[in-house]
Amino acid sequence: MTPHPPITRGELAALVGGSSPTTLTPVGGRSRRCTVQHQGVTIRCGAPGTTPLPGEGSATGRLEVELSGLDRMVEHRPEELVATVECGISLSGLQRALAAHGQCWPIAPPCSGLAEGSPSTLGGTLAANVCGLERLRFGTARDWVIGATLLRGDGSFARAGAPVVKNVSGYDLTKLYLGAWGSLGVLVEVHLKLTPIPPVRTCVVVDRSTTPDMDFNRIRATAASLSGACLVDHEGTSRLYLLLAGVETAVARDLERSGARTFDPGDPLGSPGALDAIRAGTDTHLSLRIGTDPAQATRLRSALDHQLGRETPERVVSLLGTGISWLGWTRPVEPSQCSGLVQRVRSLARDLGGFATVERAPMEAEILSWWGTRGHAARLTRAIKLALDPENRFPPPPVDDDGD
Amino acid sequence: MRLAATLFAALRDLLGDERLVTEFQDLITYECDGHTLETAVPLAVALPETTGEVSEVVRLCRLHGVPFVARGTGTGLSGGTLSPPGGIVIALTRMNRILEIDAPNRRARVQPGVVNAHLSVASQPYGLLYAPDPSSQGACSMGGNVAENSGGPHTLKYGVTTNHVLALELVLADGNVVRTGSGIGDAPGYDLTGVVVGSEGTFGIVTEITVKLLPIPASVSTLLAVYDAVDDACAAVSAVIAAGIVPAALELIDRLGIEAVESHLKVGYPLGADAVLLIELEGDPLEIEPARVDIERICRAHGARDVRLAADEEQRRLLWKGRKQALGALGKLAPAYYTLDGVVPRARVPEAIRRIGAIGRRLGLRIANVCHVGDGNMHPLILFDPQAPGEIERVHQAGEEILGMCIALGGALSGEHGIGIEKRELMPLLFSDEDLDQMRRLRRVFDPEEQCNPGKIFPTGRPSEPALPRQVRGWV
Ligand SMILES: Cc1cc2nc3c(=O)[nH]c(=O)nc-3n(C[C@H](O)[C@H](O)[C@H](O)COP(=O)(O)OP(=O)(O)OC[C@H]3O[C@@H](n4cnc5c(N)ncnc54)[C@H](O)[C@@H]3O)c2cc1C
Repeated sequence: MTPHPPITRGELAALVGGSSPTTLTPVGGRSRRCTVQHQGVTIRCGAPGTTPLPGEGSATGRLEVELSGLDRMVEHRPEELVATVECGISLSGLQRALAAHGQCWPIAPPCSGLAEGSPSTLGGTLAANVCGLERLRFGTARDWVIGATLLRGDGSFARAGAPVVKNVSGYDLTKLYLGAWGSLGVLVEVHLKLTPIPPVRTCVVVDRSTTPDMDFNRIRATAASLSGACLVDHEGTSRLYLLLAGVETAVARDLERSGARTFDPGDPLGSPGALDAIRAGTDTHLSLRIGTDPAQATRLRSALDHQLGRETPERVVSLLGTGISWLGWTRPVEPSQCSGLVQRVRSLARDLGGFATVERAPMEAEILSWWGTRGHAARLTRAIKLALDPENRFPPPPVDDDGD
Repeated sequence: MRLAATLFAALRDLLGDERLVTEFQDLITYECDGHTLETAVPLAVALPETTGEVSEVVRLCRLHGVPFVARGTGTGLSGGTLSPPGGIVIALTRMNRILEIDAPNRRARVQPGVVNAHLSVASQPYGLLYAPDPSSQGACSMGGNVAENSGGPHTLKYGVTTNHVLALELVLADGNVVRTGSGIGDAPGYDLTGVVVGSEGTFGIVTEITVKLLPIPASVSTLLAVYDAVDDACAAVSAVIAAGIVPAALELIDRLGIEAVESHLKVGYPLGADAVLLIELEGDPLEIEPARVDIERICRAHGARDVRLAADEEQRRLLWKGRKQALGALGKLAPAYYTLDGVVPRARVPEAIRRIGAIGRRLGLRIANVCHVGDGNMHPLILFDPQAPGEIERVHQAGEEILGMCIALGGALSGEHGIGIEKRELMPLLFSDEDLDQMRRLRRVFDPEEQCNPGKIFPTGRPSEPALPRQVRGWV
């Protein structure tokens, strides 16, 4: 790999649209860099090398290009609650700049480990469609990105959306680019919708939650300041963490109503940042994000034990009320077993009304379909890829039909 | 004509006489939607009742090379349902069942012909509601809402349709049926649901929709702030947002709008005021009470001559009745009216309203403003007489100038009504060739032969042809 100094937007366009079949690699998630390579394209959602996604393993003759030059806050209009930013900006840098005006981009708010001090770039976060712990209140990136400029394979830029919060002018192409793992082009600039930072924001814990779905429903019904609820089964313990955000009186009332307590000093998960690191599973060998019907967190756990037996993941983290969970295998998993394990989890998730997608796997594991897309949706996905990146400069979307 | 005859025979076999409209006098009902400036009578109207029937109708159209367009309840305001030349309309009004209200998972599954407001009524016993609330919610269909990515007053806090749609069933232009998204949202892969929402019926026909439901808010506080100058009202809006308060709804009605509402609806808006702001807060009483106090203070500090709080549900209902029926009330002031839908950054609303006034004066047209001011979504409403010589042309000119002005101020062509046929020629004002090329490529993935609602969204380079008025229309 040949490191390349930071580049400008024009240089980037020239590189990508140049006559050689150069391919661009926005390195996503928690890595800072964007890579241009000659063959195969990658988005890494973890420390380099730990999260090989399709294309990465096989790539050769790679030319790396830092996108850190594209990290400007182009415009922040606090009175409009919108900002236009370049995608190489770090999440922490973004949140700091917004916080100076009492605002934040709520998908990775400042209390989240995803943002503070983390090298994650906005572009990587969007390409991987990472959501924050407060998904219950704020949803996902698709609710908070209102426009995008995409660098296409021919070196031209295509814009969609605008820096206004309401807009139905033309197709909402921005949505297509979020979570596309860079397969359709490079997200260069986005318009973000923002929200005021709540006066108080805190993370508390409920011990011994034996009926988490019921506990959660009770708390949700009475605690209006609840912005997130995270059930963590980890190293033999099960704990329910609550994120509360709002005016001081509401947060204090809900802390009391929920029966939660503030953290013990020394609790290894005693901060939203630590909690988010657990969720992100940076220490796992295999990590799957699964969706199940939101009211199924308890059933998910018993189904995992029942159907995976000894192979059940050591860690299960659920964002209650949203249906989203992460399964993490912290012990090494044989690469040859990964594909079968993924298939079994996927069929279990489908039985519970949802899906499973691979977020991290050993380098050598051969996984048929990272996304698990099927049928006509898989066919449409391939057709979209062909239409928007006809020269295949960007990585393929990992959608081989998973057969069932 | 032979072509039509064989297609009609096949459609009649499928749907029977009762669900296939072919008589001219019946087809006229379908010649336009709420955008009455352009019209086109379809060859026929099919009324399927199941996804299978929709798929079969589409297959037959494809077989005969006949273009088609989906239609909900025809309240669209950009001419999206206008039949393509030689095309047929597929009306979804008979697919109007709420299939499931899944209270534990806070979601619902509906057919496309379900009327928006009916879903919230059905969800109410579970303590839930469907948040997007277009002013037409008593009439418009969920399928139309998905196609137009509709908004409404409360989208300031809750977002527009796309933020509430989890999954779709879509009949593609080749008749195949595809399911997008999941009941959970956040499904892996390309966000197909996200691009189908707002695609104005050009990607296929939506036959089933899964949406999120939200809990009915614990408390609601509704204020009416009265101003002698529109500029002051707009300054108050910016100050509210700058203070870190995002109300559930923030609406503005100008002098002409107030007069129309009061003369026809008598809801208690103050005659003689230059503008009123309707502001609603929803949620936890501990959150909204201090916010209400702040808003009152901010409104007065920016020149409100009066700030009234709705004392009970009846007063609140009346205040909203005025806003939701304002377009209809304005429509009674003239033989016809034309509602525009531009967006500007909210801080530019005062300037936009001034410029709209100037355009109206120059072209000799009365223009009222009823807008979702909280998110900069302008609805200038042009009153006119279609029989007056040259008036329709001037209305078109005013519309183009106003939308051009919105873009010049840093806004967009449409906030919630879509591009349709109405604004397609203006798309190059907002988008470059590359931007439009990217959209066209996507369109051809879903509909390679462009048979599904052709002639919409994309510029043709030809000016639109004003309709010769068959009747005086206006939505009420
Ligand atoms: C008085 C009045 C007030 C209004 N207020 C608002 C408002 O506050 N906010 C707002 O956003 N809009 C508003 N509208 C506009 C309109 O009501 C919305 O655009 C609505 O979503 C249209 O729904 P419909 O069922 O009438 O669709 P139609 O008018 O029948 O169709 C609109 C478009 O949707 C497509 N379509 C319809 N059904 C399907 C389907 N099943 N699959 C694929 N495509 C389909 C059609 O082809 C067409 O392109 C208002 C209209 C009126 C008349």
